[in-house]
Amino acid sequence: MYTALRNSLANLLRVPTTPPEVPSGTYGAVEIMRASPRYLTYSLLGFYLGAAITFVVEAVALVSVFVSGDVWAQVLTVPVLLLLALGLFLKWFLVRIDYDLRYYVVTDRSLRVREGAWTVAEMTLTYANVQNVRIEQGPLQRLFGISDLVVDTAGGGAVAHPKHSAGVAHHVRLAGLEDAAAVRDKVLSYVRQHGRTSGLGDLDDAERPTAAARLAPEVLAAARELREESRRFRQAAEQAR
Amino acid sequence: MSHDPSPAAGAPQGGGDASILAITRPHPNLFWHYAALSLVGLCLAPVVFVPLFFKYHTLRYRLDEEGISASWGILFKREVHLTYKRIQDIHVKRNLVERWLGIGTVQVQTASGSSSAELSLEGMEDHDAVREFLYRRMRGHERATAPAGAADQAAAGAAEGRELAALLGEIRGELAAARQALEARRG
Repeated sequence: MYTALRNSLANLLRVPTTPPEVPSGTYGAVEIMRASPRYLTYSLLGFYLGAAITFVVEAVALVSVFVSGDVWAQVLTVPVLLLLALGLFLKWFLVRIDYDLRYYVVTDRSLRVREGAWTVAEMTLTYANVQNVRIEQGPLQRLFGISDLVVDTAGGGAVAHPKHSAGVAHHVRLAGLEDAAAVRDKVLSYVRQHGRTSGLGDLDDAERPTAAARLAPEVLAAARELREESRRFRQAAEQAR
Repeated sequence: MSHDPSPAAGAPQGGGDASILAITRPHPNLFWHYAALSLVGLCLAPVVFVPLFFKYHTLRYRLDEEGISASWGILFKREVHLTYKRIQDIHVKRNLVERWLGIGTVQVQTASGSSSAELSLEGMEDHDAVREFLYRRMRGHERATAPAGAADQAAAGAAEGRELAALLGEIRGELAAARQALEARRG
């Protein structure tokens, strides 16, 4: 049911159905990753918990309305319930489609993450700018055997939606990875390969590793002339004796 | 009401870097995106819309070989400049309305303390091409490599240094011998 619904809505919502483009350039390694299917289960569990709380609140409200016997309040409950049902359905659909739209492109020089359904965000960064890499795992995530890999670049600011990097600059979150440690090792090895610059746009890193300085040919020629001249000077001094 | 004062409005389609360097104005559909945004404010829509209206009409971009600048505003003027080398990450964001209108926002982050983007290129029609243009100017998009034959150069430099030292040694020897000869004649 979900797949049919998504296929019919994909065009209306204009969501991208293909994986994100790999950043332009040539790479030693390109890997396109998805969140684990267990991440979907985990997200749906969160949705069901929220829905259960909504149902309890609704049931209490319904009982109190019918106990009060107010006819207008009873009539009003119908559209309110319909609206709540629609909202829940929308939320469920968003949880499902968020999982389908999620892509992580890991190359040996850059990282690109796509996420979000209302706002489709694609974040690109190069390892030259990576400041730190961390793994985050909550108790429920541990139960499901998944964790998030967060890659930070320099810069700060308040974190408005910690679970959604779409809202926050300066970091990307690879959510719901089954083997976050392996991806972390891979990212760290790429960062190391890149070299150890501060990642703050140092203008001098444009200068590549340079060779030892060559002597100007004139210096050697002058030294040879000086040697010949000193030899003649010695010979003159010896003959004058 | 005309919402398109500039004949050069919008991102040209296709083309290479030249078409991106030529971008000075957002796509006209940004106007409708702003209109839709202000509708979210319901009864406050007119209040929200007025600054966005002026922002749309005064928004100017300039991309050159060094960096990007953007300026907007009529009462409160804003101007942002940044260089490509300082870009930390690039985000392309498209909300539902932007996707319907066929435009996108390219957000450029530098290492400053704010959590929001330092510069947003709003109303980009060819947002992916703009992103790749910026990406190719970012640090680290290609691997830093030593120039070809760097090792040979280093070896040659060292050999020359040794030859110079040998020559200087010989000169010293000649001068010492000459001094001894002169001293012997005097003494």
